Amino acid sequence: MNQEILAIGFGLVTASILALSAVGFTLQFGVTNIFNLAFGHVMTISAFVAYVVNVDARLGIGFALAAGAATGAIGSVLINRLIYRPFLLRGATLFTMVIVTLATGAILLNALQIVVGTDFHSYTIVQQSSVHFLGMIFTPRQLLIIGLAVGSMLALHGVLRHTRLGKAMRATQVNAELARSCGIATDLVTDMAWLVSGAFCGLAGVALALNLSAFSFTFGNDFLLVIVACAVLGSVGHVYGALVGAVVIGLASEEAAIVAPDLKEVVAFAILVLILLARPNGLFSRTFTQQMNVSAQQ
Amino acid sequence: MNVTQPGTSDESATQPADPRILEVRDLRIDFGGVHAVNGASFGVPRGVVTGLIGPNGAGKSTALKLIVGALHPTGGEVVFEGRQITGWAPDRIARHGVIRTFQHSSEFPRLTVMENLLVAAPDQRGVSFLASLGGKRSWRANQNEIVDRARELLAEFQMLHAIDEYAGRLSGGQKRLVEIMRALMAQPKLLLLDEPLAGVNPTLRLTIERHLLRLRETGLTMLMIEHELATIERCCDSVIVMAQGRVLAEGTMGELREHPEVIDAYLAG
Amino acid sequence: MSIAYQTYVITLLVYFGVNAIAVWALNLQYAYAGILNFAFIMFQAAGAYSAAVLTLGPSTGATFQSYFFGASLPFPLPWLGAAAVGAVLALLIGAFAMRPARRDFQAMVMLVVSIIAATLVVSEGSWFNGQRGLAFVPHPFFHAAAGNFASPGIGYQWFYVGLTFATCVVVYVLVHLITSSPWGRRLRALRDNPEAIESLGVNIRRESLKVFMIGGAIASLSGAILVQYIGSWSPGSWATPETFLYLAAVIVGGAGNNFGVTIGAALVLGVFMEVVLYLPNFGATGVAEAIQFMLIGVLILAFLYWRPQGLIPERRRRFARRAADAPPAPLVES
Repeated sequence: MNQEILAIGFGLVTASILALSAVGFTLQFGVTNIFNLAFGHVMTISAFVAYVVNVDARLGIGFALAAGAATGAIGSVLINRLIYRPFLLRGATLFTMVIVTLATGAILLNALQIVVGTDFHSYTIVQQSSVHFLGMIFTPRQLLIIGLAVGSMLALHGVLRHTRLGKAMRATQVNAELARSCGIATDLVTDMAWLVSGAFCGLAGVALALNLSAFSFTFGNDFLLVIVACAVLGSVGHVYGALVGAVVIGLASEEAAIVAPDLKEVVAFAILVLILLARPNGLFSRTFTQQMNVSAQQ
Repeated sequence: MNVTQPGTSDESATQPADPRILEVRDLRIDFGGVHAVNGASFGVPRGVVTGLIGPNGAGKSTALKLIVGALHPTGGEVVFEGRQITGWAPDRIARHGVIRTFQHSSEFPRLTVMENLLVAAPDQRGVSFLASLGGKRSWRANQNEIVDRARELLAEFQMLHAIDEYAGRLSGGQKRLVEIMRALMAQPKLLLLDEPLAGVNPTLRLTIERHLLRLRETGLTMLMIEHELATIERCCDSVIVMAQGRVLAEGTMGELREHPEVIDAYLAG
Repeated sequence: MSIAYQTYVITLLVYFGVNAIAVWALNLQYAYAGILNFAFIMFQAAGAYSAAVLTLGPSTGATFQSYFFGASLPFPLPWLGAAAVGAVLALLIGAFAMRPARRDFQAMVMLVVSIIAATLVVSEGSWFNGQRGLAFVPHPFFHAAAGNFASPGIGYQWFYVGLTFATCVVVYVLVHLITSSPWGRRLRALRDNPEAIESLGVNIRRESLKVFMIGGAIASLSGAILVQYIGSWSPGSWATPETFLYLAAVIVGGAGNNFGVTIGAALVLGVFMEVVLYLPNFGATGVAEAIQFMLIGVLILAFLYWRPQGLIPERRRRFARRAADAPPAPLVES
């Protein structure tokens, strides 16, 4: 079996998980201008809620995914309403906000640890045979993950391009004040943005947990490195950029794993360092951030 | 008060001073299709106050940012005192004597008014890591001189009473004054004012104008972006009109009032 | 005083000294250049590992640990070496982490750096002995006979307290010289409004990098002091929660005030962490610690919301002279 082709298969799975998480992360930044460092912890919590649904309540993986998405969505909205927004209303600087998200993440992490302990867990999923396709091997779990990512991205694309909410979100992203003066209810739009990105966060958490043989209470945050690398590569805030970043890093890290399994994270980190040295605003900065500049011009 | 005399740089001591301290030639910037500045060319004469006016979106602020290095042009050049400064970093341009003020409050909020002024002085001692290790004795005398200079400035602007106030706690108008004073402390050869009167109440507007006129008396070279045409008329010796990223006309307000294109683009007659 | 009690006090004092030095470094980066160094603990760890490796002798030695390099340098070279490593590390990280203009973006990159560093050090066993960490690190000026790993006596331990405090004094003087100088003022301006200070002629990237390096060197020094007291260092000693504690100390104590952050260090790292030892043990292992960290998180949020200047705020530097600067009598606007 050709190792490189196999790795592409794994790469697609990793890319799918990354797509869900990086898109969620970058969307949060894009609409709210906050780097949400609690993102990884929300992923973990969603995965554990899904675990309870799947293993304790013995419901199928579909229910677990729905539970995970709901947890991520509702959890993110609550975090914004209860913690982030009050700080923003008080005039907190971006500098302060990043500490706020970090502290929030720490609270979530330790709360989770108290509840679920430090053990490793796994989902129960019906064993079915693997699928062979073009030299790649996929387990049913992995096909589910890929399908989930593709479906979610299509849905998001539909929302962003063709619904009023999507247009409102894009307007708020480019220039929040201008959007407000155009009558867009930016508070509501922000809530919806956290809801949608939170759902992606939850799904990503469950997907990541599915792909690991076993997971514990820190696994979401450990993944933050790769998520940030994807988002930065694709220009933070740029949803389609994050998708490109996910594919690039997903494939690259799995190809590197052929050489040595530890290289996966090193590759993501190396790409992050390179892009920061060469083009700190990401691959899509010309068209994207310059547009943000124009709206602020006289 | 010690405001730098124009044309006192060492390079120009042996040559006749160029009447234009700043020249902008065919300056362009392209934001993914939007040409905010589209082939602008103008000159800023020494020792006088030049106004830069034009309708919204004319590219005035963008042109200022291009001059000071906050943005990099996609074409054209900026020449200061005969030297190409196109594409230079903003701090380098500032060290050569081109100082700007900002449209929106940009004081140092958690520094006091005096500290805001001290920080701008270009001839300070003790401003590097190694210099700081020398201890108070090595920079105290120099600092006292600069403090005296700042106090004079504060007295002229009638802000001495706010000397130890945190700049972030001041009123909008007071912040404006602090910013202008700070720029002056930097001993500029060319002072660029980005809408110094924007959002300022009418009483304070007159006060700021008064200070600007006073500075004009001292021979400080200034380029001022403003919307208030009355202010431009009172304070500026000549005016440049921009529209749609280009220069429409240059001249005195009287001349411009007769200029057909300017009338079309901007003045209501 | 019993030996056991003395040892307890000595430990508190050494840790206090180390934490003070560390917190002054973090304060320098945070309040004097506006750098949010989420990888802070990495510098302390780097200093500890460096000092260990520079005193343990070559890796093929008698202690069956595998690590990179290895030397047996006399005091104070391991400490100076640790500080140098900290500065170089800051330079390397700053080269890419400070490329984005936004502060929060930089902070996020530094957080990510600490994640990858922790992973690599644990997985690459040949660098610093991986998961097991390094042990049997010799103490300065304490010459045990070869193979004799007995702990130093109480006299030596008091000596080490003195050594730590002497170092504290040196570091404090250095930090004070910086923060009270015109350079310190420029750095605070840089923290407040980088765009404005750049427009006044300051190269913000270069100055930020300098502060980052100085802070990194000092943080690494603190690690060196600690490792040569404890005699060992493992990856568990430097997870992200540790940076968090130092950050809490700075925020609670008063960012920008060297005295304030020292109090913050004593309160958060000393009192808060010690109090937990006296609480009854309940629940599974690690629950008490988790509650601790949760409360630290809440403490940070509370202070940032209600008292962002901390317990002892940054000093206001005054320049007014008595009567000369009195507010003017109300005038009719001329």
